[in-house]
Amino acid sequence: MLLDIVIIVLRETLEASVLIGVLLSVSRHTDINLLWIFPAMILGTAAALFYALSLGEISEWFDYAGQEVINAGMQYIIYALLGCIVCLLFSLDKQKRKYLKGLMVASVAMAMVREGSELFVFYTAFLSQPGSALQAATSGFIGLSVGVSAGVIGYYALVTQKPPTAKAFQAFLLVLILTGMAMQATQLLIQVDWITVNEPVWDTSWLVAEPSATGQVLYAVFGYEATPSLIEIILYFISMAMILGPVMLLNFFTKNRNNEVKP
Amino acid sequence: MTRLFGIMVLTTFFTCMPVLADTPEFTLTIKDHLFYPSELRVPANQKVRLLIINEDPTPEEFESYELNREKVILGGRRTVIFVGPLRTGEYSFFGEFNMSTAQGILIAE
Amino acid sequence: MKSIRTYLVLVILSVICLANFTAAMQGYRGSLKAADRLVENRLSEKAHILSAFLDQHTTLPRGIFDQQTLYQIWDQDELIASSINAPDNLFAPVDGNFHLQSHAGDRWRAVGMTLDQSQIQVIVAEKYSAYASLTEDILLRAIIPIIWVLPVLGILVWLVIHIGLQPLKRLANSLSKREANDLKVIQMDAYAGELTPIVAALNGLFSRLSEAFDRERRFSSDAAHELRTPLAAFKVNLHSLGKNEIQSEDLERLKRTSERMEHSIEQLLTLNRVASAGEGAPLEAYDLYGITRDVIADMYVIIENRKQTIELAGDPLLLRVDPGSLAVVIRNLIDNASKYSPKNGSILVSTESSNGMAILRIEDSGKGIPKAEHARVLERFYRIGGDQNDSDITGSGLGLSIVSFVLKLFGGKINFFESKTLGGLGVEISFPSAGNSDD
Repeated sequence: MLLDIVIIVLRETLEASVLIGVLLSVSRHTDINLLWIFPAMILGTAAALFYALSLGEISEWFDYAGQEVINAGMQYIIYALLGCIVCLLFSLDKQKRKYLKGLMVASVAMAMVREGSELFVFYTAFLSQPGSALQAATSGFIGLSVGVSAGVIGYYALVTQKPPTAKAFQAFLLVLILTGMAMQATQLLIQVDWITVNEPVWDTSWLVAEPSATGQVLYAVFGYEATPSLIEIILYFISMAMILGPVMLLNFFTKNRNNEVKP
Repeated sequence: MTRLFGIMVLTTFFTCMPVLADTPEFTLTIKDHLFYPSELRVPANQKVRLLIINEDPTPEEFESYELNREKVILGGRRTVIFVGPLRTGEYSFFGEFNMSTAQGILIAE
Repeated sequence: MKSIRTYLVLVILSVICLANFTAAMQGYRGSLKAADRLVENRLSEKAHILSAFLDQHTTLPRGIFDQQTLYQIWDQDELIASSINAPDNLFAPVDGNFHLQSHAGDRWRAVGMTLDQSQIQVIVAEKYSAYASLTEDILLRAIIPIIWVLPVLGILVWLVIHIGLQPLKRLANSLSKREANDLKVIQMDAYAGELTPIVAALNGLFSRLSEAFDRERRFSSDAAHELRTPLAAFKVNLHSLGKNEIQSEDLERLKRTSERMEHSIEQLLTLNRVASAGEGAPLEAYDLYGITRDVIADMYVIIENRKQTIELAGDPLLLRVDPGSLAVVIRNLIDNASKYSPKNGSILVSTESSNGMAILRIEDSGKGIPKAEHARVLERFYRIGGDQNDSDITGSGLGLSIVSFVLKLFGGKINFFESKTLGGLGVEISFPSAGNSDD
């Protein structure tokens, strides 16, 4: 079914494209050449292929928990990388901004590894069915163009803002995305019982159902979950506070220093 | 930053309480892009270990929005996921790569 | 935002893409639902056909439906009839609703219903894949063109925006191609309505600027002319003072000052003339060698008075430079060379063509200029050593600045070097050569 395939492809591409859109707008505002995206994507694709080819092996590690543990590890690393980017945005030391490019390449490549490897596995399975080429091409085309469109709109929505507003939105979106990364990692660890959970605290599927388009976009942006458990909620806020804390401190010091300079 | 990340990892580990004992295990088999059994009955209010065996040569992704589970199982391989504790009720799951056929319901009772 | 065109193309395409795909997917999903309802209706019909058979026959023909359909008929807990491909257990819940069931390696859409006024239950199911692939095929034929038209749309959007932005591009081109001193108004009606305010503002700016230029030009030429007359009277008076046999050093100094003043005024007037003549390169080409020869002929008396020798070497070279301005440049340079060379000194003038440039070199046997001062001598009113310059040399400091002004107007360059043959200063000016006259 075309619809089903399109949803699969979109789930994998949306998250990466939103992240790429935001990071590109960060580069524009900090005068970094946007071309870093190409090495990042090439690196990400190569790593995704390698990961997909060794997925069978990895999935049997840790009593069949290998996939989840490695994926969660990658999500936590992306979380940390994006956290550093947010902190650097608010850092006083403009010299340190030279690390931004490397951090952005690493986080985009990492984000592509998991999604890319799943797409690769999916397409190898799908293309083994006879007469699937047109559907594969169409779904791939839709996924790619919707992903790119979302990224482009996000990018221009941020780039056309005045620098202080743009910075606030960029930081806000990055914090949402990186907290979403931590949330996904938590879910992966719950799935293999590395984190034990109780019953869900609430159920918002009547409001936004996870399989719906809105649900998918929200999942891509901040790891939306209709039926979260208590531990997920706690970890969500801890992971958010760990980034917001340093950012607020940095902001506080910036303001203090500005006040000292003024008189 | 790295210190914060360390704290994150530690909190994760402290909340990990692996209860390997007395977790009932159920088996779900994928064959010809279908789940057997397509209705799986498990005890409610208890954590359950699901062993999923993919007998097809092609990969499949076990997915359930209601259970918050998502996992790729390569062709001819098996995997394990944990589910619950669940309230009594029906939870649908499906194979994302063959959604038109690979459908099933998990019934917690 | 770096480029308006990139922004428009990308954002419009992205919005079209998202709207288009959402619409296509909504249509696809709606059609699928409709198709499902069709199948469900057919299943209900089949169940009713079975019940009609049951009313009249006790046994049912086993092959009443094709392989894609299965049925079961239950009397309470007993299976009283079924198709060959049906299993022995209850296939689906008997609740009048539609269910999807796995059986014999396929998905089946099933409905179970209890017949009126009896305990007889009928279950009918149809293979999902049999009709799913058919509806999928029909829907894809409708959806796929809508999706693949996007690249075509992209090209069209790009073209339309490209054409739409043409007036802006044209305006930018016409502005960037303008000569620095071209202050003509831009034709307003050639541009789209949105550009009219910009063009109007530019035109206003141009006319104010050209008025200001005119005023400046008039002012300096008027001032120079106004100064000329009293200065002439002043010189006449000085001359009569000298006749009255009052001889003093102060008088001599006064004479030299008046000469310097006169020179300055002449140079100011020249500068003005050159500035108003320099409206771009002339269409005709002139011979650098010939102009130089004429200038030297004019100046020969002055040079001979100083007991200096001058020599001209080279071949005819064609240039597209206003001959009057070029003569001013050459006269200024030779005059400088003569002024800063000692008595009995010599001046060497040569023309040469190299790499498409026409080069004129003027070397003298004077003291030369230190390298560090080379850049500054082109500034207006700059004199080496400041006002403490050898006071027997008449100069205003305007000479070289006029030279550099003319050079700028006609795309020429000036270089200073140390003369190897004469030991003094060497000046080299170069202009793009007109090459062959059919160029």
